[in-house]
Amino acid sequence: MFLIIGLMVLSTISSYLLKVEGQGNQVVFRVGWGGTSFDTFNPFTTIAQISLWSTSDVYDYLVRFDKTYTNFIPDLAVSWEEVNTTYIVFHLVKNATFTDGVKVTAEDVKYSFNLALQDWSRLAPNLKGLESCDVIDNYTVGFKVKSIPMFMIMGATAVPIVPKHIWEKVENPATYADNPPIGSGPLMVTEYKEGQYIVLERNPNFFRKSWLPHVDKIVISFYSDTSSAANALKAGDVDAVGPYIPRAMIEGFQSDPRFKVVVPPAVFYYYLSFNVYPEGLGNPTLRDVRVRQALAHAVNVTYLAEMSWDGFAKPIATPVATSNPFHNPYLKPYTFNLTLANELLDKAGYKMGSDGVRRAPDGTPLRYTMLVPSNLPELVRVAQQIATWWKQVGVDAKVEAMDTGSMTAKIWVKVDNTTTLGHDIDLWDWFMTPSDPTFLSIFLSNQVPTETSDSGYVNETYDKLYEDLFNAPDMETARKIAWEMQEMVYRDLPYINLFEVSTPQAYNVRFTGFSTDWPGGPFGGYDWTVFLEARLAEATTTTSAITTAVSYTTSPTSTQTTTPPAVTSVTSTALSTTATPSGMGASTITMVVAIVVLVVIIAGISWYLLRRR
Amino acid sequence: MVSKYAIFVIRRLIGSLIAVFAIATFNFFLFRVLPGNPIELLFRSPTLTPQQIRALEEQFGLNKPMLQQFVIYLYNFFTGNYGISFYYRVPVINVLIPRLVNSLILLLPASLAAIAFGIFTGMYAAWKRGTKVDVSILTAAMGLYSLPSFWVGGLLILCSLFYLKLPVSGMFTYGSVYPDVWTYLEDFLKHFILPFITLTLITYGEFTIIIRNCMVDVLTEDYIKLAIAQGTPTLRLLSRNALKNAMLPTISIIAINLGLIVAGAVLTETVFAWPGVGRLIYEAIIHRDYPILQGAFIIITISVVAANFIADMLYGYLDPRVRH
Repeated sequence: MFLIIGLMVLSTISSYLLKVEGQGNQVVFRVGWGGTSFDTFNPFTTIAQISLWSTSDVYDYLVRFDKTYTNFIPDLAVSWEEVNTTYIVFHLVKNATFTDGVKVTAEDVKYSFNLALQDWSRLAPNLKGLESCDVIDNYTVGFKVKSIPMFMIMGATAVPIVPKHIWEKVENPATYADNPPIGSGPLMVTEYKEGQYIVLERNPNFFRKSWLPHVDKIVISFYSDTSSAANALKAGDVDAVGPYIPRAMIEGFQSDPRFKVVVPPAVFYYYLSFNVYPEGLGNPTLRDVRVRQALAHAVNVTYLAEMSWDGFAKPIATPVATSNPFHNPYLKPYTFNLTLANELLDKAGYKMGSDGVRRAPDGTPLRYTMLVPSNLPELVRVAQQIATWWKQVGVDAKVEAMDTGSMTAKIWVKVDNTTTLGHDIDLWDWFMTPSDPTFLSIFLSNQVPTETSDSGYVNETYDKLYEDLFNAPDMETARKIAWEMQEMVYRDLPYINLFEVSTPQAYNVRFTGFSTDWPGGPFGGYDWTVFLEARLAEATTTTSAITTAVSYTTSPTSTQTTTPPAVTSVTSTALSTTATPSGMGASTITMVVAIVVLVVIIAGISWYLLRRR
Repeated sequence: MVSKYAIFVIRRLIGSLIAVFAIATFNFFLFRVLPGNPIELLFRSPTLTPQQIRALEEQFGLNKPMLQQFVIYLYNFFTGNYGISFYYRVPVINVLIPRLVNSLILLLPASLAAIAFGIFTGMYAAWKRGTKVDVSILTAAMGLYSLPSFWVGGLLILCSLFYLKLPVSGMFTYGSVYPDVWTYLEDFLKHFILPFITLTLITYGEFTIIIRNCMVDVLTEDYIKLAIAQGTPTLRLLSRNALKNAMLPTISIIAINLGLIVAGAVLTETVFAWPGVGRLIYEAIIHRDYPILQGAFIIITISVVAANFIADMLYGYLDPRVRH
């Protein structure tokens, strides 16, 4: 065992040394990621947005979304036709190959969808309406589905096409690491270190030359928090940061001409959840919809949005993001009116007690505990503000900030082996899916045991509508159903939706080509085009000042070049210096000498001290 | 006839093994007392199905009773199998060892530098005890000792942004192609210098204070007075007569510190995005990645116990009284 560990130590050290190779002047686009770090390449089991995003161009999909999430761009499927309302046929490109040289055929497509349907796959819920997949010929594949629009949105754009000849040899695809991934997309993974970084390079054999990236390498490095990632951007270590820059650092980037700040459409929001679960253990008065309505009128969402994320947050009345095609634009947040809230509670029979706290007819006081994750300080302030408003309507709410682990343990409690809800109120955030209505599933009746629903909303009509959604024959019907569902939760108030937050990102103006209005932003983990579109802006002398360490070419590669990498990698101009600039070289030598001297001194002292007389 | 020293070594060895085993047991339960279900924390997703949850629990053995999980854990512990990371879905060793090496590359030089400077200034302060030099060295050491590492790191990053123009994150400029070994080394050193300075500064104070106090004790002994009276040169007196005796208590402090460096330096590593084991542990706690945490803590345990064992051995070797 120790031998193995020793060998691994050696190989780790030597792997650093082996990277010294060849001469190169390459254009490298570096992205710093401050969110949850990369987990696994296996596209069917990954849970990290960064894993999906960084491999979004490594695998091909049948079709791709554009930034409106309503139109489809041909990828592996060059065309498709709807035979009838439940059958759709895709025609595949004929010259697509995986990076190991094997051709991509309809069999691979069928195999990939089959993997995605497995119990352990994260994509299984996306394929609810898929009935069968037929290989018609080598390059034609047909799908029998319940609803074509839902299949396009959630299946054709979501299931990566993996090589059957590799995956079928894998003993257990559910635990397969898939490293390095063999795909057929425009990019391929050339280097990966767990928790550190991933390097992507262009796949020279990709079938659609116009999609090939404009840079030689894309490096995504992982940071533990957004502040250190933003610092790295400032220092020039990276060229862009996602998923967002901290609120306190936005002004610094806006006032610096070296950077551009993007404020994209929001995909992330804050909410307040009531425990309305019929079998729940929380304060029973919250199961009275009249109490919840009164409390909703006692929350000023506009003020809260301004207070915590001024200029970057917008009040939202539904759990579906404004940029999502399924968003219901007619719903507006409840008006802020403390007098009305008081009247509603009076009318409902909740009498004010002598201590300023209202009581239900059966004597239960309107006294609640609000759970807030302590890693979201802005949300803790929001909760405190809400508590002061509620105090004015005779409701006593105590704010308790804690880590998310403790919070989940307080919300979902086990009683006699069944999961129930143990809390009164919680405030939290959700990342909303930008493209599809699946997010509405958080209010389904069966979501308490899976520890997804923190409201415990139970409504059979709602469940039925969600089923109908997956049977909708066309987009219009699907949208109408989604709107109706949003109206229901708006009326019944399992959640008070607070506000959605645009996550500001920043990039170095040395690079250009990003679409700033993609929901979630170019570096938020959703935009699959960003790696293909990133390119150098006009090279200027000032840009070289912020490049660090090893120098790369800052030459203006022509923006529309599709030349193979062998040609682009030698483009270099007088600007691109090799090896060490003289000033830096001297300081390095000094550093080396200093460290050598230090080592000698330390070794000398220890030898001297340990020597026996 | 077995020598007394050998008996001493064997007794300490047995004690160390018992300590490792006790801590390994404690490790298992420590993380399971943390509130929150790892699956739920990892996969907070609106589309998670009960089938998926069951599949995951089976995959990680979380569906088995706690006692059975513990037995499996103990078995794996003795066979050197640390399991599969919940988050990275690869064997723990594959993740842990490279991170450990990264941490050692940073922390070993920083600790050694801090010890070396600490010995020098501590010795000097003790020699000049009671003077302004002593007071200022002590104050500086106290000040540095109490500085939070993220603050020092933040200051250095600020300096770097405006003056030094050094990279502030990572170990290398990832994805670079280096024309020769020197460029490669230069790139590494540029990334290395800021976290190195931070760690040296914040650990330096501790060693200075300890060595100064030990030296003051020794320097007030009669035999030192005798040596001074005999006219022993100052440097020789300090290094030969005084430091050797003062080193005895210092050795255990140094040993524990060196043993602990395998735990990495969470704050410094986070501030400078150094891919070390401290950051790995921090992220593993967020993800409730039990196998990584157990693996990391076992390595820390073994390393601290081993360092203590070595310190004991040295002690016994240097000071015969301890053996009895």
